[in-house]
Amino acid sequence: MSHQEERDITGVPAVATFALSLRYGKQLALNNVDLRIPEGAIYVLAGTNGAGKSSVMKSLLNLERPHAGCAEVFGLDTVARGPEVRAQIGYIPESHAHDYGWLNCGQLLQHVSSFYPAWDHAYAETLNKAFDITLGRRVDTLSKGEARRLQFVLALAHRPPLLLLDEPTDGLDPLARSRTLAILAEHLADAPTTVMMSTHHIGEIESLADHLGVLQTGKLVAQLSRDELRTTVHRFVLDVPEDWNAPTELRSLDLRRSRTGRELQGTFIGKQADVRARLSSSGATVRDVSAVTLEHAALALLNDGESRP
Amino acid sequence: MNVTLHAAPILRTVLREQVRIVARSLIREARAFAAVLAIVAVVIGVEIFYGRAALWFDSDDWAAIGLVALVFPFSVWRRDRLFMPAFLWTLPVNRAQLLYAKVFAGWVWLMVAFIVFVAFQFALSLLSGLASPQIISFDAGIGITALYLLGSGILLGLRHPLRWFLGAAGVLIMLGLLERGLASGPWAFEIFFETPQLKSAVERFTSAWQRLPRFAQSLIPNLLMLVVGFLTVRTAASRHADNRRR
Repeated sequence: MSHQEERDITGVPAVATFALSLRYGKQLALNNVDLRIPEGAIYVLAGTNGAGKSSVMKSLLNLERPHAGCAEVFGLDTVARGPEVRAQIGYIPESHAHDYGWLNCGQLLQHVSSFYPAWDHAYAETLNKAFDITLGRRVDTLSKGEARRLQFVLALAHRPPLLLLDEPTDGLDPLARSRTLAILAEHLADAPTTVMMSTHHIGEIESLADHLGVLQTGKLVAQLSRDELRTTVHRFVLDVPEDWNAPTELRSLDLRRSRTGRELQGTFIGKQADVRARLSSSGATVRDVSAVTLEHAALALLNDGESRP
Repeated sequence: MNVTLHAAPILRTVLREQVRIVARSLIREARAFAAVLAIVAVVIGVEIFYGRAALWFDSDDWAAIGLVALVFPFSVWRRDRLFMPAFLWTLPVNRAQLLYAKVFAGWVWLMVAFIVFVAFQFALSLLSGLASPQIISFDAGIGITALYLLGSGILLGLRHPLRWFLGAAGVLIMLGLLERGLASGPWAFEIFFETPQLKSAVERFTSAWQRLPRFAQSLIPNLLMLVVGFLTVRTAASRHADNRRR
């Protein structure tokens, strides 16, 4: 059997979930989630703690079994074809601890490599050097940052078509973060990879990410490409009368009044022309409109999700 | 658009790797086993020197070895969190297959320990100059395998196997105490066991059993236990299967 197989997936998303729902006891962790991650996308999954980001990733690996709905990775059902699906995935879990902490780094790498026929030993060696891994050290003696770097090597060395990164920079110091993200960017430039990443540091991956999904208490409240974000979420600078209130149909999220009291700044969600028209009809004068950063957009969409019933 | 999909590993690779990693995880147990053998060798060596070694080889009680086989799976699986989203389940292998592979790997090392033990005992019996040393027969290997499988099944199939083990032991002790306490009167146990139909059935079975050749008397219960062991592991594996729904 060959280590790799070319497959035509025209029109098939790299990751798709269909009304995926998951419960932990009585608590609903995921509620009818319909994710669509196009092949080659770098998809950031944003959400507050406990919103269900890790649960989505665990469902894709079939680590958590949904009570309703299903999921596919490159068109393969994650339950019926679990082993094949997991062969396509490089996974960095939220936790730094490893079950096989009694092995040293070299032994763990050797163990994991035997399960991936596509494991690239030369590349693993390059990654070990880049991430400064000491092969002879026991895994359970590593610091958070060192453990995270080892997890990166384990996830990247078989050049998986899909990376699931759950808070990947958590535990890394600022320097290590920037080095890690540079290595990740280099990896993505070399190997065609789809990435699904959850992070609280969206600003760090501003230049990498091209899709954003927002989870709010288990519900996917928004899912947009970077281009869609550019046309949907904007920062407005307004001149407003003294007793002005934002129109109720407009979702004003972070309105801030300037010192003079007549100038307002805020992020609005909606088509720019529509928002502009509604603001004007309410008595406000639009002075400036600008695009927002991914982090700002994620915050806006999160707030928006919270304000909705 | 074309995407290059990766293959999952073949079963032979998985088996080989599990045998290797289980060996690595059992180093502590292997050292303890070697230490026990060394101590026993020294003690028996002294006994041989004084001509009292026969005491060591006339025992017919293999309960201790059976107990070791039963609890050995706890050593094999102690690093894995079976009922949680653990590292083991992120591997690109069919979960039931992965579980069988690791049970097999544990069995391989249990059998290695068993063979070493038999060889050790054989060597000591030769040294002692005893004519007919008590050496474990072939079917003892089957019995040990059966108990190992049973222990594996219990460990893999239950969320709290230790509680079940202790609970079962507690129930057995309670039953034993109850039996002793009720022995003086015509209690339910006695009434049940002394019914004529049951008594004659037991007698018929005993006489048929005694007509069997000696090897069959030993082999049949071991094979039955083996089947029970396999079924227990299979049932346990189904709890972890990829396609098991909530």
